[in-house]
Amino acid sequence: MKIRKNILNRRSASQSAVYIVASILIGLLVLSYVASFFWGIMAACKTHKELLMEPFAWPKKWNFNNFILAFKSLKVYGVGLAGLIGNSLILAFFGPFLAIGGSTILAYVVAKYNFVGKKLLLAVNVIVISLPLVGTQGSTYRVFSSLKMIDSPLLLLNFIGNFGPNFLYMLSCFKNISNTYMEAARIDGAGHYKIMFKVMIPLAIPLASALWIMSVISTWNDVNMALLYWPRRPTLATGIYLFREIASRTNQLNVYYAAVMLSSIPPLVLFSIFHKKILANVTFGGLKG
Amino acid sequence: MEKVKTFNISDKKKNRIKEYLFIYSAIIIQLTVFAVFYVYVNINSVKMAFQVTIQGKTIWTLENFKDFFKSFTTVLEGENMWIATKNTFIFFIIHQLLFPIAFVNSYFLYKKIPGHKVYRIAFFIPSVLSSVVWSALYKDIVGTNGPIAILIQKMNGLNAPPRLLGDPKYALTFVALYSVWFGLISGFVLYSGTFSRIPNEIIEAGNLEGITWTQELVKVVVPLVWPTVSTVFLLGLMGLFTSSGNILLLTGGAYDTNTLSFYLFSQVYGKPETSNSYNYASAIGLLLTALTLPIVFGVTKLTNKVENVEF
Repeated sequence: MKIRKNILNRRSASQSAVYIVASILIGLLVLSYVASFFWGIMAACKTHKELLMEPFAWPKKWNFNNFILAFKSLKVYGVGLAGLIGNSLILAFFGPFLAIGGSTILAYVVAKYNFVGKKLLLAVNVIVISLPLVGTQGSTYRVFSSLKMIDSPLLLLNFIGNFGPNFLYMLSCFKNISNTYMEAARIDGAGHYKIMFKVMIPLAIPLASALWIMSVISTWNDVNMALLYWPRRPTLATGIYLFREIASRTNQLNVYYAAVMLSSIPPLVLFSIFHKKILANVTFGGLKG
Repeated sequence: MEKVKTFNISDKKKNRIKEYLFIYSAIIIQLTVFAVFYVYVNINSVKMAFQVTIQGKTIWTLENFKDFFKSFTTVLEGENMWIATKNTFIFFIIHQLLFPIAFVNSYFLYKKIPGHKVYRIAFFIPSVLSSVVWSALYKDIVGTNGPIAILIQKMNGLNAPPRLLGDPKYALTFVALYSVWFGLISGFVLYSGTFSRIPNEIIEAGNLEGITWTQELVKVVVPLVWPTVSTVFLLGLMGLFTSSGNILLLTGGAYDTNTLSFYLFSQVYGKPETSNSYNYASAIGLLLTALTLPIVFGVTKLTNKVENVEF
């Protein structure tokens, strides 16, 4: 094992030199992200005046109560920070749950059963993935509006439209799971639903949950969808975007930054807990291993 | 014997019916939602492209298309379509140029350069945090009190620091720089998985044969990951007309930074539902989709030709 590791890690002088230069360059790039983020924390702990006059100086005093102030004074369309977080939670947690849940069931059925229309569904998926349809926001808005989905939790229904990359990931996952599990359960007398929910889907949970986490993070961060279809029901991302102008007018840029930094906590926490799971389960081109 | 056979046949039939009931009941909701929010929405969008509403009356017309072509020769409501089109192509080229850089970055992490463990996690941070967060930080970092604006002021001998995101002279460059800043690592998630699937045995065998590290890269690693990389690259070509920077959060489309995709967004965002701009956006979208079709067919053909390497 040690010899194998040595073979893999053996490096020539030129290779080591290139790797060190690459490491320094990548390090500088990473440093730029970290420094910017740290600047955001500093900005969140300054006074509004300090932020305008000396934006890049060290805070004279670390005003951590700006974070509490953000909860008290941030309001967009009458919705406070707690409300913004609530709206984000509804959209970012339930939406991806419906999306991944729907994809998982659809992919399971397509992967494990033969039925009329199966080939059509696979062809539709290719079209959905490969054809970028643009300019449909107007039509989408009118359809959502006629179904009373604008500014309503009914918008979550839209997430159940299940074709696309997640469907492909789940399809490949179920194709890799042996049919013997299904057959064994069938011999034991289990019905189709029981086999799906109690045997097959639990086997796909690692991938489904990794996709769910990634989807939660991207929905939490999404601005466009909520701006268009939840215009009076702002999420944390859209609320912060809309609050910037208010904060400039009302001398609350520090509160704005406190809210910006607060909004980054949930995705960071989720990622730090689950990054191994995400990396281990999702790779381009299917399942790892 | 005959009786048993009959029983078996009807039993089989029953099972098949049960199976079909299960299949369609399990997917009916998904297919209904897809039919409404994808199929119907797109059909309705095509219909809207050929309609305008005048004094409450909807008429069929080609006016939306005519307006789009006119917008290349006349500036309507301060919108110059040439600028939006030019910017779209600029962002598209930037994304394509960033592609090999992101690939090389991922390769170095795969080869475990010093600090790779920290970098591997740090590379995820930009995509984990919202663009609202990064654009807020970026706006102030390049703001008039920021070090970059002051440096440009000193270099050019200006009286005051320039508004880098608020002046047509600089705005597009600094929106593009933002795209570059994050684009350098954008493909990392995709490529890191692809690299990690390369079996160590192949690399070991090469090392035992005494190949140099450049030979290993060119003759072993690249051919192994080529199917994935070329497919990602080819799929990226299909996004020609949707290429854009973070226009909404950085400039709101002002200061000559508009792109086609942001322009389409702005035709709907904040406009009343009855507005004809919805129809106008549908018409532009339909044209752009039609223009994308040859690329889609070409790319589909090329991706099918990409030889798949099993490993």
